[in-house]
Amino acid sequence: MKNLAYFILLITGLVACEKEINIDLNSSDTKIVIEAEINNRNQSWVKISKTLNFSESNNFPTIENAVVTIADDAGNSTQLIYTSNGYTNNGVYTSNNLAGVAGRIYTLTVLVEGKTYTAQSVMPNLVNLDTVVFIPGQFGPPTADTTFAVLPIYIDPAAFGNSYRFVQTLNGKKDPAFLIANDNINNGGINQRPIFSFEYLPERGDTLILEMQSINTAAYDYFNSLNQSAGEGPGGGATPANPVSNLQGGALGYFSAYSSQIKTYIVP
Amino acid sequence: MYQISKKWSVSGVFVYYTGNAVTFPSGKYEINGNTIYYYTERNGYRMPAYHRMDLSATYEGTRKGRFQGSWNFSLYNAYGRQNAYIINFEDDPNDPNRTRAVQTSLFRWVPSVTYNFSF
Repeated sequence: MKNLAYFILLITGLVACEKEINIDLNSSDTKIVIEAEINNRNQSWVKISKTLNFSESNNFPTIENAVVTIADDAGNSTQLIYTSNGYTNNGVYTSNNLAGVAGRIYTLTVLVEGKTYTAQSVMPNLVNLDTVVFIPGQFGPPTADTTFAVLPIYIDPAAFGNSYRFVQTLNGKKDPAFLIANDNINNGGINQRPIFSFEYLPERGDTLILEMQSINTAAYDYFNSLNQSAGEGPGGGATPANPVSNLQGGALGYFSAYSSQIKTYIVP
Repeated sequence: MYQISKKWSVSGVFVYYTGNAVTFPSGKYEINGNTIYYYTERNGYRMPAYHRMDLSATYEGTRKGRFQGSWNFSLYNAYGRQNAYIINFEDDPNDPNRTRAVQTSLFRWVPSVTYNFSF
């Protein structure tokens, strides 16, 4: 009987393996990548970089000499200036004179390497984040190791078409995941869906800085198609495709005008 | 199937499939600190070919009236090839400066023993 047990163990040890392989991937022409955001708290930044071939090192080149302007539909237009101390220590274009107003249409214009790329984005109204509930990830009273899911409590406005994005910073570390939601389900109701970011689950005593953004539908479509395409293997994700972008002219990336608020919580 | 003696017979199968058409990245870029892959040719690549050999041997027992038993010993994927089931593209966890392709395969050698009994 013992030999039989060993035999079965041997067989199960021969299943599912992972190994790195070499694939000859084609290269492509480099494309411009633009990440652009503007919000209602006078924060705006535009990051311009380029694509690389798959086999190259991950040193994504930043473009420093582009001409970047953001205009609104009330006649204001501001140029953003490159600074090398910006977002994530790589260069960004920014301005301290761009306080966004909900309801305005913002137009981004980027002139880089002789080509112009534009995008438009309407800044939505801010939906208030009332509070946050931490839901323990196990039955029974929480222990020191219990991880929690973060449930933002907010009331979705009655009109259809609200989209949200959450940016969380846990103990000083910013979660790079795209955590989004919209009111396709439970329109007009109190939110019941927690944020669940697998590598950034808070535990007791952690400090969570949560930014809740009201984003527009085009930005939601971008982040949603980006998330879908990044899922892995059968049963996860869709056939890989480039995300649906609101940039015109052939650049990758997005332009999002959003309203947001930031609140800090300590997990009890 | 090949009868090598009165009680023993052996057989084998060789299977070969060309890979499915798949979409692989042609480039990569960065959004919010994440490496995002850039696709140009939908279904422009092929998964690696799938092939394996199965071998088996059967031993016919002595017939006792109506009852006939036989033992079958077989080996699925006799040379243990790791046929690709999934191919993922990810940042190398040991070297964040490069991206790599990783394949997941299911079975290598799977031996089995079967007893058949007819009456």
